[in-house]
Amino acid sequence: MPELPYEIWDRRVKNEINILKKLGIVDPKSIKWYDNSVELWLKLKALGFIQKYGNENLNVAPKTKHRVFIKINRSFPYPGGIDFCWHSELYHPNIHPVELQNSTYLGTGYICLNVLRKWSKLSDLETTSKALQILAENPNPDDPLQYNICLDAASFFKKHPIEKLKRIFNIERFHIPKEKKSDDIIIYKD
Amino acid sequence: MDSKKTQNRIKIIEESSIKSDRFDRQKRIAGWDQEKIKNARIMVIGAGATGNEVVKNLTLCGVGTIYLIDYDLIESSNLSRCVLFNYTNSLEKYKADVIKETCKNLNPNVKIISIKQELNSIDKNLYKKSDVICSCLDNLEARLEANNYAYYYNVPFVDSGIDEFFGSVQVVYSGDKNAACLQCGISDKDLEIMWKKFSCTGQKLNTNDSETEGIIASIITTTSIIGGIQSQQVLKILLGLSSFKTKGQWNPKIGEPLIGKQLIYNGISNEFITISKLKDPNCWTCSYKGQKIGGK
Repeated sequence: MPELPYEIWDRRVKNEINILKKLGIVDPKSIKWYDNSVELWLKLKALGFIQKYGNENLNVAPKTKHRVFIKINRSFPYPGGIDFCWHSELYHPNIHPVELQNSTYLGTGYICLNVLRKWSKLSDLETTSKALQILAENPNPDDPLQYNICLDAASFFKKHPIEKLKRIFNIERFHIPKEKKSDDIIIYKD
Repeated sequence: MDSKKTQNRIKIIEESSIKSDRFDRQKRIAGWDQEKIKNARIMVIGAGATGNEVVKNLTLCGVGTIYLIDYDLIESSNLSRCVLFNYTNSLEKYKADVIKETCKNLNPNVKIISIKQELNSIDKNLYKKSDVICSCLDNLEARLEANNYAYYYNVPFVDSGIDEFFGSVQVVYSGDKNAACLQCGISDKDLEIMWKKFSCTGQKLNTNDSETEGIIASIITTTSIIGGIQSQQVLKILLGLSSFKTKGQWNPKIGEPLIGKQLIYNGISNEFITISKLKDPNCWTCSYKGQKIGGK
């Protein structure tokens, strides 16, 4: 992939991280700058589910806080310039978290996200982070990752659509951060 | 009026120099300055079919230094359209090295520095050292990388593309703030094609899909036409850039290069058309100077 000259890349990345800070979805202490990359942790709020045994009919429980590791490479903002790794446990057909429930093994952290596959000129950290929140809340059981737990989650969510689960758990509407106006421009200055 | 024009164009040339000066004919062109050409340092990225044409033309014109970047070896399939390669002693050698050797015979005074590295691993100072950067590449990723650095360092960038009987030439220069760069014209579809080459883990995929494989149909007649136009753009920039920087105008005798424009050659319909490229206000490369980095 091509890369931008370092100064331009650096300014762009700082600016985009600053937008995430203002949205309150990045842990400022987690940001680590390296020569050719930046690592950080996202703290996402989204209604997801984890497995919870005890109820014979419905073995899930809601989970609203999630941690996602992000590595921004030098090829950012070109496609593939960001590596995402979903860390905290989640029962989801399109996400294979690192923390797997009831397993001594670690998951891959893979996220099957259209926004990453269809990277556009307007794609950035903000839109991608929001897309992750939306994905966590809206599993797509028709296109699962090929891991046992994801396939299992796919069949579960086919039987129990998300709207039904919300009714069961009496969740009317999960609050996600207020969207910024599309013409907002935040310029980061050192 | 006509006689005045004619008088202005008469140059006094010593008779002995007419035959002995190898650059005599081009020096007769109005507005020509051989010293500018001689002192120029040109970066040529890609030593394939178009790269051969461009280096040959610039060498014969007497350009001072050429940084030639290519890490590929010569294969038989290159020989049908590369004027500086030959069947007897070129195969399996580095393209950049063979061109360097061949050009010594064309013009021993031209210094060709062959750099056998991938573009993203070269010393970035080379961009700064160059007066003009020429891309004669077969893939979009490397083109965009060259565009990004050329724009950043304010070095004029001449890009070319070839496909069967079609070709195009575009010039990018950040000194003209209103002119589009190569990245401005990149569509989401282009990004998708670039991304298709890589798997989700960022590793290069092996695929037979011709769209992503990067091997395109090519013929020497088209490459020589496009290589000729590309070289001419380089010469026009070398001869006219100082005038543009000082007076804000290109030397009228030399004409304006294709900055912010794309010249498209259609060998099927025998047509040349020139289109103006639109500047993208959200361009990743050239909008940073307008303080629009990141966000929307």
